[in-house]
Amino acid sequence: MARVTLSIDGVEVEATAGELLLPVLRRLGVRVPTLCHDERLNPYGGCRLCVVQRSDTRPGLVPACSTPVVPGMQIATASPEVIQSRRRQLQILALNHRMECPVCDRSGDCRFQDLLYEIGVPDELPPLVSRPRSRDDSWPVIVRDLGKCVVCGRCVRLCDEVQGVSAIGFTGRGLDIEVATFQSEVLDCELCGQCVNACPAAALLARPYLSPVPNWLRERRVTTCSFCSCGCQIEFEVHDGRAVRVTGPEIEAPNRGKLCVKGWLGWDVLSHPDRLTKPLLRRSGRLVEVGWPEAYDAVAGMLGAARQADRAIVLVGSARLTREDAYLLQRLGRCVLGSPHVGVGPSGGVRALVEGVRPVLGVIRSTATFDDLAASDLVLVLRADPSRTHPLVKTELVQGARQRGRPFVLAAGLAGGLERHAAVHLHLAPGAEVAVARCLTAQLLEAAPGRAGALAGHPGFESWRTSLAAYRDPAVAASCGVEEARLREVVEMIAAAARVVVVLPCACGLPGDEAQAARAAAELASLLGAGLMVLGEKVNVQGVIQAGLHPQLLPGGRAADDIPTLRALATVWGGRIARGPGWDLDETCRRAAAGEVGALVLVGEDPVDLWPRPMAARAAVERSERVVVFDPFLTETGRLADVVIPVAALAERVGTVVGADGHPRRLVRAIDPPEGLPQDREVIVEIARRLGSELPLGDELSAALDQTGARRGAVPAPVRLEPAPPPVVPAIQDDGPMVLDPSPLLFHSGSVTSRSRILEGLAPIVTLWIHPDDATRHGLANGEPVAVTDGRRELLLRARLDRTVTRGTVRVAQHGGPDSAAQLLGAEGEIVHVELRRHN
Amino acid sequence: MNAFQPPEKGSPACESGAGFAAEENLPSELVQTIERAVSEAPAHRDRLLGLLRRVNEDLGWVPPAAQGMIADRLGLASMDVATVVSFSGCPLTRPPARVRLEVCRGTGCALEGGRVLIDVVGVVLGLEPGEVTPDGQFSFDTVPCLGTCERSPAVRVDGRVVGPLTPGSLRRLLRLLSDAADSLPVREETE
Repeated sequence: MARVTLSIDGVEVEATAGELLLPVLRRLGVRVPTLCHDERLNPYGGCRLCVVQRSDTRPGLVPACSTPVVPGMQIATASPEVIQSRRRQLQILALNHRMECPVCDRSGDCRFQDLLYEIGVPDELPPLVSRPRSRDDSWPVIVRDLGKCVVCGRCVRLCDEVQGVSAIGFTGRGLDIEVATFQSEVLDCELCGQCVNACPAAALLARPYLSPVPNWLRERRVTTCSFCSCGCQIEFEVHDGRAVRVTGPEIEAPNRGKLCVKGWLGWDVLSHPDRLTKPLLRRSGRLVEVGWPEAYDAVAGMLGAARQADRAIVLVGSARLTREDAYLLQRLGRCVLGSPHVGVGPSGGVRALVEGVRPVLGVIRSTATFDDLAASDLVLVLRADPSRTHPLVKTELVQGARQRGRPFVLAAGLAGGLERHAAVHLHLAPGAEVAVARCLTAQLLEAAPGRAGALAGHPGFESWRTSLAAYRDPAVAASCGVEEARLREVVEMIAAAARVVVVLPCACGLPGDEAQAARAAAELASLLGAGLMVLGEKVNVQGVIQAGLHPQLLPGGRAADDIPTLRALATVWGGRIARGPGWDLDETCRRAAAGEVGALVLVGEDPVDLWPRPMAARAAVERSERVVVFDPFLTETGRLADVVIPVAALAERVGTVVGADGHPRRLVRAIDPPEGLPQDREVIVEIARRLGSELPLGDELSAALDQTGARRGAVPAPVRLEPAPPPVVPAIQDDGPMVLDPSPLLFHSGSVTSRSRILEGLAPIVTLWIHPDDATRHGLANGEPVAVTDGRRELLLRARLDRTVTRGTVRVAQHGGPDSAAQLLGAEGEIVHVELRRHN
Repeated sequence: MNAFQPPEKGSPACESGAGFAAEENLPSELVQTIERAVSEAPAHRDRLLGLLRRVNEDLGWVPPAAQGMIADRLGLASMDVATVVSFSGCPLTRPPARVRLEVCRGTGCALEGGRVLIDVVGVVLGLEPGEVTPDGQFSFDTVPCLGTCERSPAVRVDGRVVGPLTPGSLRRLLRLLSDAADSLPVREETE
């Protein structure tokens, strides 16, 4: 990069050619006031508070935020003209700002207020007429107070450039300008809160976070959001141990202040009435509150008895556990209790990582980071639109496309608004992504044979390559919903791009086999030398597997029957270790229902309410001899358990989780748990102690994680290319039964969110989305009730006509709840056909 | 059957995809015009102004439904279009009157005394900028620079720029227009 020399306040300074003045000045420690500037947005130059004086060839006041450096430039940053200009400008902005700072919600945390203190305003009034405006309470969640708007445009630009929604925009110009919605309708958007969090005054506020607690009395703690696996950093403002407000801190990677509706507003879950504070023990058929020692004794007694009787003990933890909790849970099972049956509950991404990524790439983590995503030339999104499931990834895609011109290809049936920004949207039939990924791989093997070099050494390469020949038939892609020309277009784009990232969003209930999709995606990534981001559904999918909470894998990712690793672990853990593989969830359910399980320990899992095929899960819980549940809430499964141990929620915990980008992130105790509730790890240590084993806590636990490789991420596993099975294309008929397309929701993902009253209130009513042509065929009109059945079970929904739905399919919300597609789903990824009937 | 309807309230549009078509509320000729205009070149956001102009020439304004339809075809959000429409001041956002008066408030006209013309129209027709006479005969708007500074101060009447005008010549012009309209919305003035 060429260097240029310029003079700032009389001092010679070097900068990179093309750089803007503002970062150069800030690097030098010059204080430059800004109001409209936002690192996440394109330079704007709106507020004119960052003006500096140029005195070389083109003298005058220039905005530092949008003026590039030029050789020989002479800049004064604090001349009288600069100061006067800033004061006048601030006065014009203040003209329409209702000064009620003493009672304002943002007082003490207000950029505009800070600037008024710092810069001040001239005494005389400008010759302009002020336009008093009042507060508008008609929008959901967001309060709009145009009487305080300083027209910096950060809200409007974030909504457009980052969120890609443009739900709000400016109308009018000059003094009449207003932040408004289309036709002044009530705000209808993703409620990501970007606009509210970026507002430098108090023109946009979050209604749930209006609080009488002054900003200077709030303690601020940054932790990791636990709703999905993006690993966003969020800031809790705490007073008296309670969350007053949640925001995204702008300086923290990976999200840099960006949030979604869940990470912004979903925290009322922490104070839900279902929260437990005392252990429950079943006595004479009833769950009653007991003291902690008694509860620990009871659990240890049950597990000890099962071990004694040589009955099967199964431990299933959630992908929401921290890495430390997951590690101790599997160690309790494998070593203390001698049971190989440790596992993680159903969560999108588990099978993708273990059965798809590991055999092909040899690791159990994503191989691309958010930085890789930002630096890529092309992104291929397979399977689903991350707008609903992983909102941070969506904003990265939008920013790439809108701000940097980096294209992305969206190969997904469901589109949640991202298709508007995609260079190409391949509108796939449900479950078609596996076949399409292999079509692309097959075409690329031909189009760019040089790229196969890295793969050619892998065992199984030739038979794999031969097996892909079947995918070169254009009919395969066509039956997935992709025309030959479109496929060729995408192949050419990929072949021309140097740095590609493949993104695979995962969520329970998405149609199509997740493991196969991940395998096909990993093969494609491998062929291209591309990074692969597996977006797990729950926060710590990658971390719990790396910690060994999986029936087939030990900590670090070695196979559960790998003798050398078991020996090495035995010296660290000090005792015999049960050799795996243990039972997977299906086998656990089957065996438990057959009465073969002596003790079932569920940590943060609620099979009765939330596992797929709820009847089988209920049978498993009911027929296990003893059931122990650890959970912050009293769940449906908890109601059937013998012991329920209440634990702290994630925002109340300390530990680490591994995000969708494969990076570990810290959980900080943002809020104190009610009544000092323990974390899972503390409960596990107490129980192990009563069973005669000491498990590590604190620094010792960190050391143990390091020793077993559970913290270094995945230990490389053997890589082998397996021949691809013949193409399976979804059979969508013009006049037969409809194909069910389960669709994740943004506002409501099922388990934790169902305990947020705010999110539940914002989620849409139960709806069936159908193409108008299909609606006509079934005699359905918009808004009519419709019964959907797979022949056994039936859902009653409201029809919504929508031409973005693939013909021959119906889209039904999938969040695991009783009115969602979960009720109709069969085996994982199986394509379900349904009949529709107008309900009278 | 009426296939498309706007989403019901209480059901966020962002959970459903962009599946409702605003054009259901538009005359079919206009839908065809927009469709034809869009298909002339690849859909790209750069084409927004040109398309707005086409519709404005056809209809005399750009109804909200047309804004929504253009947004949909160019891969934009409705609000992206509404922002441009409201910023440019023209195309108009309400149905046109029979006689459309647009007084220039550009710098050139202002220096030549153009502000007085705004007052004259206001007093003679009894309108504030942005209003239409109750009988729908006259609309009155002020617009950013018309780009005809050689005729400043200027007024655009039904798309034709008239100027330079004095308060007196503007009053006579309004009277003529009002006579031609065969009605008398113009109030007599006592000077």
